[in-house]
Amino acid sequence: MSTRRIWRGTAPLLLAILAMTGNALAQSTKVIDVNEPRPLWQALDTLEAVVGSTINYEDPPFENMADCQDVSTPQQRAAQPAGWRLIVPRDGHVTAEVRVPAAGTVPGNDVIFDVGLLLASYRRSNLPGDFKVEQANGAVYVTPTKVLGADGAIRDVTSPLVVQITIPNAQRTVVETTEAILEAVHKATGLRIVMGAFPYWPIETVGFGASGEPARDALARLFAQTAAGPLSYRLVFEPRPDLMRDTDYVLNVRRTAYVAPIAPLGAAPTAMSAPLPKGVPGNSPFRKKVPE
Amino acid sequence: MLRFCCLTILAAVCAHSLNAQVGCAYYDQGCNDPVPLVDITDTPFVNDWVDTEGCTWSLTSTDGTVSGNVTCTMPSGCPSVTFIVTGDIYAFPQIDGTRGSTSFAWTGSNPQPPATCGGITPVSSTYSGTIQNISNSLIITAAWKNVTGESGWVNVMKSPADFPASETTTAVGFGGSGVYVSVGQFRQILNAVSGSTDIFKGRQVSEQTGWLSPYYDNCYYSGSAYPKWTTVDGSGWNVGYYPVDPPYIVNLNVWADDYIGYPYTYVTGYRNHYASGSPLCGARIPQVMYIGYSTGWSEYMDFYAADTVGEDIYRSSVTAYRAGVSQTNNK
Repeated sequence: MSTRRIWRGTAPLLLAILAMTGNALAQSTKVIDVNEPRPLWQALDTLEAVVGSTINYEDPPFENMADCQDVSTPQQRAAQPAGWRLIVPRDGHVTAEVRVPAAGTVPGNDVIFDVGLLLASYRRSNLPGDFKVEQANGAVYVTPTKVLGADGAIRDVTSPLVVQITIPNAQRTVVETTEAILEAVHKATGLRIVMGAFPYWPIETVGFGASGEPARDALARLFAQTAAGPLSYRLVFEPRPDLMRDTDYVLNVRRTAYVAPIAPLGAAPTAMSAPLPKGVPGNSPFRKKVPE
Repeated sequence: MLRFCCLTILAAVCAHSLNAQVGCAYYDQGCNDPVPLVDITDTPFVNDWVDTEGCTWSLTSTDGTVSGNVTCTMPSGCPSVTFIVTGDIYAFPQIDGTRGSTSFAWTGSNPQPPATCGGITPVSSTYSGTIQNISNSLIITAAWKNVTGESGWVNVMKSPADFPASETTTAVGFGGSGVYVSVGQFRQILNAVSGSTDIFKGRQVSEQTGWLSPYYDNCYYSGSAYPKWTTVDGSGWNVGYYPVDPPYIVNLNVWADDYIGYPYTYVTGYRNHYASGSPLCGARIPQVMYIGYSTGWSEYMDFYAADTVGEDIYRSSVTAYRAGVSQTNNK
């Protein structure tokens, strides 16, 4: 018999954070340490789980091969046509020590401070592009400001999601509504954004429209209407030197600080048993005492 | 899940609770189950209801009518007494957002042997109350009243609890259009030891990521714009949510559906980045299934099955997998 209790609610997340921090009760800080392409993306995922606040992230539009690398392996290249490559942003190291809240979420200013630590590390590692940090719609936004242009000169860039969009009011699935927002951005900017990961329930619908509203504000409003709870996004750019790219951006939406539950080891099928509760003393339903 | 399935279509495929009441996709937030139970005992000879008055109820229910017998212990030196049971259960109408429940009234009469023994005379009595769903395997509190006018409360527990002997998976197509066209739809039946086709109606199942091999996503490459598929989403499902509509639900122990696969944007993206191989790439994620219990005071889950979900991407098709069952869509 191996019956176990697996509590729902915040337990999985708490366990995950405990695992990440080693011993959250004994420590008040956590070291975030990432070494890979787009290290800010992964670092902010971790920070979001630690602080419990919504943090949105957008890639710079990588367009110079100096900001990119080929991550294909010799085995992969041998199996693919000549000239085949896997082009991704140049990897690098981002690290910072952030405070772990004893309970609940961290105040917005503290989150911005922690994001600033990660961004400072990103800059020290001389990684591609540069970013700014803003607060809006009850969330933190980390968006690009500069990138190395194809001509070798640094140029200013802005988020494609600050463009104002209009979409008609209608009842649609959440996915269809998101796609309508992205299509409106495409019409306004020429940039193609496709849905990547998303946590939406497939038949969940919302009544939604936008009129002259920044796309990111429309997204925030949509996120607030879904049943999935707080959501954040990662707008990921397919590097222009990647000749196999089929879109400009991929929009990955995630549930803020959600950690999918992991089954405990050693699970085995079992029947369940539980102790009988104590009965109510007094009369008995099927037995009548005979008066003496 | 659509995250890779199993819900985050996230990153890749997911196991998703599509055809279930809104809320179960986000099981960690809680999921109200509106489905009432329609059967009380996994018969024949699988379990009984045992109460705190020393009586054991061996019951069957058919279309709301309850029959069987109840045997009670008597004072030391006296034989046990068996009563004939008649009664009914009534499943209240299923309403989204309202927890499903079923009323019951069971009467034990015609005691055998009827004689007084040890100063105690066996008398007929009726138990009545309401069984909340999910707790159809556990403890209920009943009001009792006997023919002499005495009354009180008694706790009754099913023993042993209902537990799926196995789970059968059926491939039922792909998830419609758009990004879902590459997401396979799988429907499950919880198999009872007795062969009952309704004993699990009103229960809840949920998923977690397991540990066993195979466990990989070889479509993902470091720096990919699409997140790696590493987990199922932790979705939940209400068993027997569809009693009639859609009509293809013929077994009330069905939970529907588990959505498994990469969203189509992933598929096109990976096809563009892998020129050869058959499949071009794919993923396998271990999935562990739990069934929920409720005592009326607390809820918990117990493991009942482990399997693997995943998908392979080919040049012009995708094949989705769950528990050894596969289906292909030429998209």
